[in-house]
This record gives sequence, structure tokens and C-alpha cells, in this order.
Amino acid sequence: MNILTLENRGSVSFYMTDYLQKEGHEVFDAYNTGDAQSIWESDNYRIDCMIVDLNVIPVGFSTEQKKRSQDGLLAGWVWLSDYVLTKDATMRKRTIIYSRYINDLREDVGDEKLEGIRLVPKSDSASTAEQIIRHIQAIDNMLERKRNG
Amino acid sequence: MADKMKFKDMLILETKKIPKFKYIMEGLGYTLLIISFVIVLFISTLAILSGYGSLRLANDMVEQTCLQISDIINKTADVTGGKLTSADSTFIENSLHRLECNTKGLLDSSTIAFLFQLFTFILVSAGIYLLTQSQKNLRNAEKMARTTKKFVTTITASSAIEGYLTLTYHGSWKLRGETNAEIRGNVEDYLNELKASLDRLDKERMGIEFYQHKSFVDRVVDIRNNIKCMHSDNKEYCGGFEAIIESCHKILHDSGFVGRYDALRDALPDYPN
Repeated sequence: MNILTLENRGSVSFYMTDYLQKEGHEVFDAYNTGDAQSIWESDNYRIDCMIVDLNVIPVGFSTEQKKRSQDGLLAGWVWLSDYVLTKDATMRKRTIIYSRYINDLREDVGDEKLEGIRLVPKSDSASTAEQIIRHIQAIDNMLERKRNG
Repeated sequence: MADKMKFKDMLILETKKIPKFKYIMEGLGYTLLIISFVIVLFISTLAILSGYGSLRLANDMVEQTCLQISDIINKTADVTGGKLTSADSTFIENSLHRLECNTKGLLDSSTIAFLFQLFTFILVSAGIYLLTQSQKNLRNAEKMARTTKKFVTTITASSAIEGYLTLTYHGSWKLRGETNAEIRGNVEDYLNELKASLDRLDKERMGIEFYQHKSFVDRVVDIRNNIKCMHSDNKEYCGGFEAIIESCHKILHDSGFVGRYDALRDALPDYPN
């Protein structure tokens, strides 16, 4: 599976990438929304799955987008909704959002807009990693079933 | 910091002293071994010769006594028809007693010579064993000193990298909001120093502690993001800065610094984990 990770904490991204690569996935690291957009728009990669942190550096955002992202707090969501989901709605079921600000996002955009997206509250415990791994396995199985018809 | 440098200098000095010390010890060991080998060879030859002489002597004595006794018996048979006189009996008894005492004495001296040879053999074996052990210990001590030196250098180098990362981060953060040639020049210098330090660390097969490595990776990505968000007037410098920070990120990612640090630390038995 080709996985795009949007995470501005280098060490988190480092160990997540390491794990996913060992599991046999191709991983593309993005450390800000500008990086993520370059990878998403590139014709060289077909992204199967996305792991998105909400509070990332908003690079390439307009003033309006920056305002909507609450100064970067929900920048991951703004990028996802404006650039990814408008282009490919099927990505909804293949996206994992993990953040400490899941509740802020729910309050801001409402549950309807988040339907189908896999939400994982970020914590320091191992459960965040376990939940992300479970979701990735589920997405992988879903794509496998699709390929087999 | 001063204490750290002192300790490092002391270690370097100690490491330099080792070869001279090693050669002196080895030379002494071999000289002693050769001397003891010559002594043992001499004493063993003497003991063997003396043992051989003793056995020959004992053999001669037995032969002579047997001849004397047989002569007496023959004479007695001829003269008295088989009955020994009391003088002959006393002579035979005395001869046999003398023979017994002398043979016993000779056998005792042979046993002592054998035991002495055994003792010297054990002594030489113990000497060879001790010499081999001391050589092994010396090699281990030498290796340990090299590892300790490398470990201390690793920690010092990591601290320097941490410093460059902090300076670069603050400089790049400032460049997000303003354009300042001096800050830009400083950031470029710090970035180059950072890259050179990481290259050196990698080339010399040194490591970085796990949590420090995590914070380094975080900092490098923060700097990278700052560069991406730099003030529009600084944009023309972005490409160069980005290329350097990307290569720093790649070195941190691919070099296996954490594993190397763990291996170095584990090689020091007294280091608190």
C-alpha cells in the first residue's frame, strides 16, 4: 500500500515510517501541508491511504484557509477537505486522522462531514499506535477485497 | 564541561601510555619465561642423568650382592655339604640389609627428582598461562580504553550537534518573519557546521542516544518547516538551505546512530543503563 503521512513531529514520523516500511508499505512523509500537497498532486504516486495529524504547519495556505485552520490547529483537516476529498471522495474511507484536537474538529465541522473517516485520539500511550495499525490493516484488507472483485 | 574535557584528555593520555607499557610487560614476561625454561631444562637434564646413574648403581649393587651370595652358597655346598656357617649367614644378612638400605635411598632420590620435575613443569605451565592471561587482559584494557574514548567523543559530538540545531532553529524561526542578511549568513554557517558534524559522526561510526536522536529528528523537521515558511524576501535562499537540511535529515534517518550508541554503551560494563 502507498501511504502518505502528514505529521510535523519528525520523531513520530520517523518511527511510524520505520514500522510501516517493515510491514511492507511504501511510505511518503510530509512534514507540512505544502509537502503533502506536492506528494498528493504528483502523478508518480497513487496514494492508497493517508495518516493525517491535524496540528501541522500550514504551508501554501491562503489567509482564509489559515483562518479556518485556527492558526494551524486544524490545518490537516483544511488541507484534506479542500484538496483531497474534493478531488477523490473515496479517500474518505482510507483516511486516518489522529490528533489531540479530535474534539475541536468535531465541534468545528460537525460529525456529518467526518463520516467514514477513521478518527484516532492521540495520546502518549501505545493505544494510539495500536489503533492506527488496526485501521491500516482494515484499509489494506478493504483494498485487497476490492482488487479481488 | 571543563571536567568532561579533563576526563577526555586523561583518557587519551592513558590510551597513549598503553603500547609502551604493553611492550615492557611482554618483554619482561618473555625474558622470565626463557630464563625459567633454561633453568628447568638444566635441572631436568641433571635429574634425568642422576636418576639414570642411580638406577645403574642400584643394578650393579644387586648384581654384585647376588654374585657374592651365590659364591658363598657354592663354597658352602662344596665344603659343608649345604649347611651355612654362622659367619656366612651374618655376612649374607648384612649384605641383603645394606642392599635394601642403599636401593631404598636411591629410589627415594629418584622419586624426589621426579617430583621436582613435576613441580617445575607445573610452575612453567602456570607461568605460560599467566603470561597469556595478562596479554589477554592487556588487550581487553586497550580495547576498553578505545571504546571509552569513542563513547566520550560521541557524547561531546552530540552536544555540539544539539547546539548547532538550537542555533539554526532560532535563526530560521526569525527568518520566517523578517529578512536580515546577518541572520541568514549565520543560519547558513550553522547549517553547514551541522551537516559537517553529522557527517563526521557518521564517518567515525559514532552514535546518538535514543531520546537525543528523537529530539534531533524533531528539530531537523522543525528547521525544515521554518525554511519552507521563510519570509518572501528570503525565498531565493530557501533551495540551498533546504538541500542542506534534507541531507542532515537523511543522515539522521539512514545512519543507524541509535544502534551504534547502544553498542558502544553496552561495551562499557560499568556504565549505568
